[in-house]
Amino acid sequence: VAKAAVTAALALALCACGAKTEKPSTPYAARVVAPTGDGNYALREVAFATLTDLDGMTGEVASVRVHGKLDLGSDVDEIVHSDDPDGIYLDLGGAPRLAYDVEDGVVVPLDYQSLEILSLYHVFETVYTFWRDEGGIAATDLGTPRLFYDPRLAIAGEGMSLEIIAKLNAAFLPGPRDFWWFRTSRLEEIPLKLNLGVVAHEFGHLLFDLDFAAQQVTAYDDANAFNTDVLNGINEGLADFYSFVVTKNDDEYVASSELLAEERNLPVPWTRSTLYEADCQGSFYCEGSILASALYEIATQGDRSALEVASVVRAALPSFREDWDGLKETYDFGYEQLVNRILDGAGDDRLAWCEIFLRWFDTPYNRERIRCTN
Amino acid sequence: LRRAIVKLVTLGALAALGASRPAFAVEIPDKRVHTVKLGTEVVRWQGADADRESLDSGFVSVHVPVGLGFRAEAKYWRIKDERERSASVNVFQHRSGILLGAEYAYPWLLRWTAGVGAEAIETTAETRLEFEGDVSGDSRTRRELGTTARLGADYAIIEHVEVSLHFGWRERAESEQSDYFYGVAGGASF
Repeated sequence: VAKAAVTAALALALCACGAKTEKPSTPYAARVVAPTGDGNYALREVAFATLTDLDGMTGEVASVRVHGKLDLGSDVDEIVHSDDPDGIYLDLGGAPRLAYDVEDGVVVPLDYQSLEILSLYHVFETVYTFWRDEGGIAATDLGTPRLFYDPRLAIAGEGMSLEIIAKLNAAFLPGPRDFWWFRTSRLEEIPLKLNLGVVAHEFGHLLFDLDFAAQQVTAYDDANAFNTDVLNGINEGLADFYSFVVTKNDDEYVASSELLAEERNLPVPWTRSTLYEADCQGSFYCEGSILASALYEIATQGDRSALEVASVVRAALPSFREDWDGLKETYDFGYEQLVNRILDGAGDDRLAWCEIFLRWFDTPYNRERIRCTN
Repeated sequence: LRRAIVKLVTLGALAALGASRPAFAVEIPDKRVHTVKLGTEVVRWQGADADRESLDSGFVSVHVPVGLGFRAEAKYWRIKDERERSASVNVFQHRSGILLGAEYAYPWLLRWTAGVGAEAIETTAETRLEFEGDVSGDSRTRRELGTTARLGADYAIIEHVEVSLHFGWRERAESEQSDYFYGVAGGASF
């Protein structure tokens, strides 16, 4: 009996070396969780137009990395300003090892990470190709960002080592121009990293980095806390508006979290004059939402499409950067600088757009500084 | 802790002197013993990310001496990963396997073991999307072969009753995935 068992084991081992999964080929197709429009999500088969290596998860628009570890103990600000922004990583991680089956040429993920990674790439590709193909932004400007999946935050020092697993968030990091998609929390309905609105929002920060900062991290150097809050609020507000431009849906965030949606769905129920009485805990986000709401109203009530409005906004950002550089040391800087730059590019719509801006930025101080005429 | 260190030092000294019987234990049964074990393992797969780790696993194994210090091994194991990752999207995974293999045992203070084997493995992945009141999803089963290697140590608490620790790795051939595992078991020898 024992000899038979050993013989059977050896035979099985020899057989085990032979069989391999059917290898899919480009263009890849996979069954993922994907948006279907109007804020709905479904398990469906999608085609990947840009993914060139499934096992390495690299493609023309992004590459996915797992096990990345950010060094929180380092001076992040100093490092992203340096020649080696990758210095903020204790570990750059590596390519994911997807678990999947192939059914009629379609990749079917077999575990949670593989499902999320493939779904994330699909959503990211959707957003990227929207701005490249419909927004007319050159792929060389957009680059090939790294998508850090479930990155860990670590502090390592003498005699101590601490690792933090962050959840319920996502981020864009200027400098290395990486995206961080933190671990999914059980509080999330559709995981944030699969939410078209959230991915489009983070991508909006990349656009801001391109148009405002010209990909120079020094552009964000702050002058005082007040101006920093204004710039951060503008960055967040524009990202929310760009998210709407991509999704064409004003409540996409609700698919992931009602709490998030309450403060960020467009338009928000407060204006600049009622901001401090508003039920909004998001500090500068709350003021940024006023800008996003004004742009949303312009895009939904006027003749121009949301993408056309976004083009005017994007064109205004280089001159807004000049305003920032000139005024950031003073207390004369505010949302009005951007609003005026946008109005300068509005052409015949200037007056109509200005009226909308004045409904949202409705304090006497705002009215004094927003220029409805040239 | 100090007592444990003293015991370990004593054990080392006895080993160095060629003692065949540890001072603090029942004599280790020799390698010609039959055993039946029940145990649990932590299994990490695909790059050993903490999120790809079974939390619920178990196995039963049988060893039969075949001569020259070798024992034949048969093992059935299963793991279950039903953690809820998000409120709407989840993939629950069950995996089980039957191993046939051989183990070399070397008694020296403990019974040190090194084993290899071949496995038949079945993985079931159930994908679920529960969103806006709708529930959709699918379930897939993959059967594949694999190979495994393992190192371990057995220790007799009392006569005919052993505990063991082991660690090892598994290569799943068809999906080209690796598993790493470590576990603890208790069993009977006779």
